[in-house]
Amino acid sequence: MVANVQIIGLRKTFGPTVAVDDFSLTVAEGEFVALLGPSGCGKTTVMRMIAGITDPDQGQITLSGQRIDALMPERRHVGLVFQSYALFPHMSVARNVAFGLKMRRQTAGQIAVKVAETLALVDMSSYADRLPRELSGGQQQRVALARAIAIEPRLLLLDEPLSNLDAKLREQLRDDLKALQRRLGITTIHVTHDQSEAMALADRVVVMNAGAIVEVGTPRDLYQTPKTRFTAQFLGHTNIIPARVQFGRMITPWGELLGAAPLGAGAVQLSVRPEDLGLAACDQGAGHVTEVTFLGAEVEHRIAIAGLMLRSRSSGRDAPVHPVGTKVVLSFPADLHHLSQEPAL
Amino acid sequence: MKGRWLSIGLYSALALTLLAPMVVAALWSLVDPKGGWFAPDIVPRAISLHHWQAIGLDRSLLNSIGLSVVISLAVTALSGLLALPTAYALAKIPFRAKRAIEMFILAPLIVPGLIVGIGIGYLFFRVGLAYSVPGVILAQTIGTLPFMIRILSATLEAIPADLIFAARSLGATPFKVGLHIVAPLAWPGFIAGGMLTFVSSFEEFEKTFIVGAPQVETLTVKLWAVLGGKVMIFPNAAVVTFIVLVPTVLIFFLAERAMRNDGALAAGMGKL
Amino acid sequence: MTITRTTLWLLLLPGVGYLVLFFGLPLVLALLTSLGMGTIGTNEGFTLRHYADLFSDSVYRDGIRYSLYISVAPTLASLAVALPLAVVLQATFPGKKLFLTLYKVPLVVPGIVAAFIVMILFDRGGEMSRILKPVGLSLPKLVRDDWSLGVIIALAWKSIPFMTLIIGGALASIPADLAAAARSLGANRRVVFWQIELPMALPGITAAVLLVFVGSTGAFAVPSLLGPIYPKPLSVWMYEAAYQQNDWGLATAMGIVMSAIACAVLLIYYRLTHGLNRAIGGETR
Repeated sequence: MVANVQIIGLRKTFGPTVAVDDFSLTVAEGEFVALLGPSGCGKTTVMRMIAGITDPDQGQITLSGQRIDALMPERRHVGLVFQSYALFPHMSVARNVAFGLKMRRQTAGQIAVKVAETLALVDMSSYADRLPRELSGGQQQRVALARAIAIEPRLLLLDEPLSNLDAKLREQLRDDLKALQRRLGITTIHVTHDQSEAMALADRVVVMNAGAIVEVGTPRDLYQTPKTRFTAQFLGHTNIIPARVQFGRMITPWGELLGAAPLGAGAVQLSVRPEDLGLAACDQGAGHVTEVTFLGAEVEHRIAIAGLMLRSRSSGRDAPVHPVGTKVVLSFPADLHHLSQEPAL
Repeated sequence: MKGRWLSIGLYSALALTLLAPMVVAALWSLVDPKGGWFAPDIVPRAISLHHWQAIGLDRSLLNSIGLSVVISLAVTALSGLLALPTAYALAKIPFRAKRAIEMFILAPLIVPGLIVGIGIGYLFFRVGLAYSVPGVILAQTIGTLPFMIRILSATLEAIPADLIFAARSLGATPFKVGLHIVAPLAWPGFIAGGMLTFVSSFEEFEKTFIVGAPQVETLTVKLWAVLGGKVMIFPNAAVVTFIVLVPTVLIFFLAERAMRNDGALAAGMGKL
Repeated sequence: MTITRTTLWLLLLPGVGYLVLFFGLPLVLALLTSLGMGTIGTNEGFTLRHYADLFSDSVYRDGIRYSLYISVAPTLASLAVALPLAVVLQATFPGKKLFLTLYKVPLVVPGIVAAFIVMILFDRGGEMSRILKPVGLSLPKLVRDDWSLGVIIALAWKSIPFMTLIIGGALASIPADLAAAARSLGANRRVVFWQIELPMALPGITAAVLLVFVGSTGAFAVPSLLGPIYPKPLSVWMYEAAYQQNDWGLATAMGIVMSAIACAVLLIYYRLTHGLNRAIGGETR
């Protein structure tokens, strides 16, 4: 029943604005893919086109070989969970979950069994007779999830399902969601603007900006070896350092990086995560500390060097703290990473 | 184009139910008395402005027009003044008897206007307000005040309390908050309420008839006199019809433009 | 910001006080008069005579029945047009903005004018029969007819925009996500309407139905002009009792009965729709 997804050349315009352009993506059976991007990047529009709420101008969507882009939404057999929960306010929890089953003309007995089973799955069995407004946000979202998976959809679409919840609850529900998805093996597309959510949940992340895909990859690859400045900066923090490769040597604005393996040719942009940027006090150092921030688990230093402003983070109890004004030298990891798809500055 | 057939269907229905009757009424107002208009003629034999001219010379009709406008303006102003503080209290202050008071305010909409009219008519008779313009204004306000309070309080309710607190914290006095924050945001509600009040006063018949007629003759009372009498003079009635309709519809269009959407009106009446 | 009780009552006073004085008081006076204790007419001490007169006279019983008829029938007729219209108006179509203004015009047309229009169109020898005659068609009697079709047409014509406006507002305030969620669960447009949108719009529909019903209950001008010679609605009898026979006891008794009927219908309707209203109450208050 679980389907794979193939999207080719999807395009949607609203009047003069291009919401989504040339969007192509393949999702394997049982895979969890996150569409990640800032608000207005078109990720929700993509999801709505897959669900059939919005009609695409161009392109095709295929579920396990079946074209669905011209089907009515009710014929697509796709589960949908909204940020707003979208529970039917005049129906009890049980009737909400039963709704999709009734539409499929299952018998009352089948429906009762399935509803009980699904509510147990999301840990909401004892709330079956409540009305949605008698539940907390987290509980409502569990019910919404139960309603979507009760119909055993070929594909599950999640539209910012955790965004209306507070931080603690969000983490809890995120873990539950992941466990549930792994257990049921439903192919899932999750739309979010929260990079940590995307990285925690997804097998693969699709980074989007301005209606187009920027980069696709596993969370680890995208974080550690982003190809673009946008991805590097959208997923966590990074230091972008313009550099030049000359005669096999890496030249930064403040001088040569000794021992660095040369990569690329000519001008390159290095991306160094703050936690990878080492720091040592040295009176001959080219940089100096301008700000120190204690973040609990980590200490962050800001360093001014050759007109750049860089961040360095170190963790652990014994992480050294350098007062503002300290002259410092920087140390870089051995495997330097540069943004291969960025034009040189 | 999407929805073209829907558009054609809706506009055809509108033409049949709204435009066509108006055209027939217009023809009646233009009937030339020498030719007349008798069955089976589909259009009058001859057309003239005779009845318009005759009505134009009728001082009592001109007086009725002026009177109707004055009364409606007064009712609108009075309703607005009376409604605003009460609407504010209902929208922004929590208190225990609120539900009961809301129900009481709705009651005049539930009790038929004629009954209110007969009750108030007798009361006014005793205190000397019967057959007077102030009496008619007071009587009509009974019917318009509930609408005004509902619409204004729905509008005020939609203004987040945080905005008011923010303005106060920035140093605005309650009066300034009202002037610079509440008034601009509540504007659609005032327009909606004002329009509904003006129009329902302009077209009000029952209470005006009982409290005011025959001394206070508004346009609708006049129309009743033309239509309800023993001899019906269709052309005259048609002329009065247009004289009643033109200002109401005009005000209605202006208010529609100012309101831009039905939000305020529907929000005020969409629940009981 | 603390508000004292005094401030609260001062704020409430203009609106509430006005209605107590000019609406509540006359209504109480009317009730007393109908019970023979009023200051209107002669004070004869507590009696139910006027109510007995009212209910024992078949003319008035017919009047009550007729009053109910000409409020229920136009309400149902308007609902039959307004509900589909409100649904259709949620869609986009060319010229929507203009239509949304134009369709509301009957809202501001006085009842008497509506009655006049029905007369010139549908009376025998009216424009419709003149147009239909050459084609060999004839209209049934529509003005002063036994079924009061003319009254129903005029009252419904006037109420349709009001109902459409309120029901449309209720429909528009339903979040679009709900319909999308229902569609994704396998519901087609029809099911979404009947099972999701209609129940959720019910408070608005209730309000619209009640207001139109009550508005028609006390209608005076339209049935006087377009209704049959007999029966006459209670409102017309009431006017005649008060101003032609000077029988204020009877007139006020009729008024109280009509108000009671309106209130009873209101309560019954509330009861019937209460469960659903409460369920949705969390959203729409």
